[in-house]
Amino acid sequence: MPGARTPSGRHRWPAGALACAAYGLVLSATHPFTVPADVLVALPLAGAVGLVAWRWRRRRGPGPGAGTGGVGPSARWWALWTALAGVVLGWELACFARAPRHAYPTLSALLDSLDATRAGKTAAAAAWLALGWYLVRR
Amino acid sequence: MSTRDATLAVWAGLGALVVAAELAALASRGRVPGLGALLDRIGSRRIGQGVLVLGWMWLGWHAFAR
Repeated sequence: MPGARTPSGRHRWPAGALACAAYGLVLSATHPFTVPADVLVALPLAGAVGLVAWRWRRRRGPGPGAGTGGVGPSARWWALWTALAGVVLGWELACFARAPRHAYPTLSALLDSLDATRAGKTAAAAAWLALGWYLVRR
Repeated sequence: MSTRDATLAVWAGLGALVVAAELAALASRGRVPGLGALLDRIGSRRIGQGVLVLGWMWLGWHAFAR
């Protein structure tokens, strides 16, 4: 039946969200430049590389979803997103090139502020893991 | 207004623009591409997916490990 969800599919999102939150909670207990932080971050990186390589080998061809990104009536919206990304990148570079960092915070500095609290770091790490899963699952 | 406040205000403005564009995409019910569609489009080719995953890897290492 179209649109029907299997029990396993129905539970996939909550289970994934719970896994990301648990990972974020554990990672938030570590500190950068320590072995536990290195290991905890390296694990999903290794998993991502393995999963992408495995999927690429399974699907021989131009790519995961080649042909789905044709030019359509929303082309101007693609241009808007591209322009927005360009402005963000430009502002990031402008801040990066200036000093002091406190007066010109980059995205990294803003993320560091978020990571300064346990809850913020938990949320950031969970979001990072979820984004990684989104990117490699294609 | 200090330099830091001005810089943060620009970041906030850019963030608001991204949120507004994403909300417009959600309200359009598929007619306007959102961030997810943008990532899907970039990742529809192997080179694009590779670049996105590498960027994600760098982000995690930079933010949480080093």
